[in-house]
Amino acid sequence: MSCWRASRRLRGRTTRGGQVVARLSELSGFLSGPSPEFRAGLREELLRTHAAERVPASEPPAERPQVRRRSLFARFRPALVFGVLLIGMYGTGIRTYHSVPGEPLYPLKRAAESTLLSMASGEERAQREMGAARLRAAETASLAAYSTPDPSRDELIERTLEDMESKTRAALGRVERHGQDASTEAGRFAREQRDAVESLLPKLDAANRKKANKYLKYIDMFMVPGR
Amino acid sequence: MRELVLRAKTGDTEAFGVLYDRYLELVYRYIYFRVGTHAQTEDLTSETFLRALRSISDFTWQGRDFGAWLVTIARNLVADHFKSGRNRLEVTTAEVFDRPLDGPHIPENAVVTNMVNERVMQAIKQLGPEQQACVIFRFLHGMSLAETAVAMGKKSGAIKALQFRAIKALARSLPKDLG
Repeated sequence: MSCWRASRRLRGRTTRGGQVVARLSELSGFLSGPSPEFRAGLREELLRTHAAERVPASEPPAERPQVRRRSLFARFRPALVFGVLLIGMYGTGIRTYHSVPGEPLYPLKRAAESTLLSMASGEERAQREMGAARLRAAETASLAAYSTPDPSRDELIERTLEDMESKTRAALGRVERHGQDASTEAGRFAREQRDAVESLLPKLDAANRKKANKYLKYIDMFMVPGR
Repeated sequence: MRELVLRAKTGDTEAFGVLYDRYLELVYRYIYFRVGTHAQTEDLTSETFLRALRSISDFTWQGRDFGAWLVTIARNLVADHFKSGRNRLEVTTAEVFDRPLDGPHIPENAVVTNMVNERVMQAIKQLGPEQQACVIFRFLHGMSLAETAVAMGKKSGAIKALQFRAIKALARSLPKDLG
């Protein structure tokens, strides 16, 4: 029984929906559309407006434009720029390495040196400290090469000598703690430093000469066998 | 159709003319159904196509066809038209039809038909905006399910469901002796 009622309900709904659809379809024929006058009038207005407002395409050139090939320079420019930068970096590196106290790149040199030192320990650190002391001696020689007296330069020499001494003491102290004698690398270092600093003595002012002599005494004491 | 639109976008006046011919009926009836008078419909239809003309270079195919884009412009214009408050006057459905509803020269069956149609139109106006649009596109403009789906930016399944609900709503609101 219930299925009869369900099927009757379904048929009723379908018929009812079909009625509505049929009515809607008929309605289409009764709805007003645009009048022919309006249709034509609006079309003319729109096309006139469209023609008036569009931007006309420009005349193409009579001759085909020549395709310009990029010059050799333009093609290799990126590589050239890279090369110049590379050379610049290399040059800056070299200049930094050879810089002396008072020059703009010198702090960079010292910063790099400190970083390398802090990363080393034991014998390697001693060797790096010796290297630093050698550099201080070379820097002092560069500064002292100027013949004209300059108090600011003397001050730079003084600081450089002090640093050289502290690096030397640190390196040789490490060597002594490890029980190495003067015939090894340390001995060679001491001899080289003595020769380098001795040659500076005539070029230094009184105060710096005193410092240099003090340094030489320390080196000589290290060189004495069985001290 | 895409080629037509592309040509119209790039300045082909005749292509725009063809698009106008194809979609005028759709836009006109859509607006006419909403506002109910020829005068206002002509104004809004003109404005719709002028706006479309001026912004056709911005039109891109994004899942909706050109007709749907036009209807969107029309819908916005109709909404602005009602918001402006100038046209709060209710338009009787009698004005929607070209044929007069009564008079000594009208055969009796035509009068009855017009009365029925008026009742159906009132019922359609009670539908929600999407159901209304679906009924207009599907039955009053005769578009297929697929065409209506494209025009409304929906899938065919969604249109089918929308249509079903619209028919149900109409069936509930219309008298049972219709038919």
